[in-house]
Amino acid sequence: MRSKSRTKRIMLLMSIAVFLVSFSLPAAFAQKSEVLFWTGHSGQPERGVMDQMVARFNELFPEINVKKVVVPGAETEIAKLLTSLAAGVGPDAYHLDRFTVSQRASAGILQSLEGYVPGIREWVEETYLDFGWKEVVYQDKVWGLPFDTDVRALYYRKDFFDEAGLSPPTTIAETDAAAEKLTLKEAGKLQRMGFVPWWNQGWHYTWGWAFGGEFYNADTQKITANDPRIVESFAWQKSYLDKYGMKDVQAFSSSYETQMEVLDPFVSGKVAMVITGDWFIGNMRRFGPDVDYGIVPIPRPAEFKEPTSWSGGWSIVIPVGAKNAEAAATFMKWYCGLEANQMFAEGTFHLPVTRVGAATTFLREEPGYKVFIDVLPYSQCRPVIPVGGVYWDELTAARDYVIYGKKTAQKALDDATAKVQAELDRVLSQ
Amino acid sequence: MPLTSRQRKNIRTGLFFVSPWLIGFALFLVYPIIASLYYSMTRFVGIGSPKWIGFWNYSFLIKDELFWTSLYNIMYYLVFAVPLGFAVGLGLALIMNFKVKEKSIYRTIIYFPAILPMFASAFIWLWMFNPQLGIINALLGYVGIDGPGWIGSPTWSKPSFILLVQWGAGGPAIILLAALQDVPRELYEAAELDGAGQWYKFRRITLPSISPVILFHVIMAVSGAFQFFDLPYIMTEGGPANSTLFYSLYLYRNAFQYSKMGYASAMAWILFMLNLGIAIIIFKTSLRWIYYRAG
Repeated sequence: MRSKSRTKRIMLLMSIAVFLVSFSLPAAFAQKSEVLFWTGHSGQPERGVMDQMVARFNELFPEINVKKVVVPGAETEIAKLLTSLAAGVGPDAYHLDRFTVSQRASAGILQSLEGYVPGIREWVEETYLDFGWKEVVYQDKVWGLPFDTDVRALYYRKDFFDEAGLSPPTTIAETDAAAEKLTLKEAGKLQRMGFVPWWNQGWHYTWGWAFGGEFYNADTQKITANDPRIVESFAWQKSYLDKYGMKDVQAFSSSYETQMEVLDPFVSGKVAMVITGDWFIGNMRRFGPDVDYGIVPIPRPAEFKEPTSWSGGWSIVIPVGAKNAEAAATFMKWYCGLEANQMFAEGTFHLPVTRVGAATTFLREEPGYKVFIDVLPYSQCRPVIPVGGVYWDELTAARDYVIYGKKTAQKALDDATAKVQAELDRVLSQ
Repeated sequence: MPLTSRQRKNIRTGLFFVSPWLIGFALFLVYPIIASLYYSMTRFVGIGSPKWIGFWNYSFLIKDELFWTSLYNIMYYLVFAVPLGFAVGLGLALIMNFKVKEKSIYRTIIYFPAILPMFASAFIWLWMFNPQLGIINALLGYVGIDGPGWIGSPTWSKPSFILLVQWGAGGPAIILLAALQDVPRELYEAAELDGAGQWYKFRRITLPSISPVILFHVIMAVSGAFQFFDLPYIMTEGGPANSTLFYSLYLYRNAFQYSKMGYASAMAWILFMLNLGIAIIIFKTSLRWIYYRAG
């Protein structure tokens, strides 16, 4: 009896010991500093490639352990980040749409990198393409690092163009003529449209710049959405509704515009031309491998000879309240560096934003990418202002007002200018 | 009269048992409500320290075109969706109240859409409303009607949502059904003996008997309508041309997309006051039409 209870006691002590050791062992080895990294990129192949990149970093930097967590969030939607920061449980690094960096920095959500990486300002200018580093510099400080980029051009259906004996357009006039020839109407309903300028990436910025307009004057800090060139670009978009019928185009638009994958209107042949980005090559490979298409720069009014485009992309930032900002900065510098850029490009076909990466990427040899990479040096970034999100939404609303006939182009853009200027003044006066 | 020690003990125990609710109520409801009133007078991005600016947010709101657009949109929605919702709910309740053998099947069918996740039904409706590919316009086409652009048209987008939400009318219908079944049979029998017709019975017996439930329904529907958010958030994001930018959607945009938490708080307080005002008006007028059975 006695020996039995003793065995029991020994067993108990041993299990307690095992229990304690199993908890204290990792602690003993936990010299690693943990970096919590949040990203909203939940789709494939990005998600898997980013996992590989994080694993590679952890391998290269054994003293740091980056933990990547996918959280809800999108381009301008950062509710999860905001609420977590308010509660003091935010991440050390966050994946933020680059064009909102200045807005978030001015709102006091981000930390500038100066304190963590000496000489960061010179480094970003040397390392990244112009439109990339410009977007992360606000009030002479660096608030994040550019992660990847994209650029826009015109995709056209070669099969439709050949059938109609047309060649791809370079000017607005040619585009309009081709669009007219390629539009099909049956039984009073639009069955195919040659072109719908505002679909997909045919944003206000796309056409405003193509028409030679300027959206912001950095010297005077004035919003210039009512630049006559931009007004002209809006009025030109409206002409498509006038020509093909407001109600018909509306019905056509809301039927097909937002369809995706194999039902994407360009893939399914509902539209003969569309403005979209380099990433769309991947969609074409997956969902329309047999579609015969070509890519040319965005058409412009005949007086402009240089190509035009604009670029966005993502960035990595350090939010305020990060518990391990130092290690997060080390992580970002690698994660937004050349090797990571190349890994991401190879896995996802997203364009690298580092100068060397863009110059040497294997994507140059990939069919279709040449146009995009050639256009890249002419590409612009959206105005670096603390009210970039508001500006975007106001421009989108203004365009809608115009194309749905609620306001004239002049009135809509005057209103947007006034509203965004008031917002900007409010923030700048702080 | 002083409390006995037993009574005091009872109160203490009682308070102890309700304390989870009391603490939760104070922490998660009272405090945020008061805090948001304070924030509405500040410039606040959601973190850090708010800066006091008095009534600036409110005065800026009055000049904000989108504030008025979103207010107009939600009032439009409310004015049509609430009465229609009541009519459809009551209609369904009356149908479910028929004494037929298969009534449990009908009740299940009618209630079914109310339990579908909002997200799933939003996507189903996106397809149904599709102007060229959707079933609604296809059916209209068979009877020779050229269907509208539904949610893709600035004119039809709000009516589309008003029709769409009727899909969930099974919820209120269940409550109204319970009320209908509570109406004393003997009243109907007495009325029948006196030769009352169907309409007369409905008008003079059914409606007054269920009027307390109608009041409850209307108040809840109004405050629900003011907070209309998830469907437009998923389906239209406020478009086209801001025609479905409902109040809560604009509020959300200000709070979480533009980091204007103070401005959004001011919007929330205006909404609250508006909702409260309308609720008070409904309550006051209800004295004229509501009927509480004694006992």
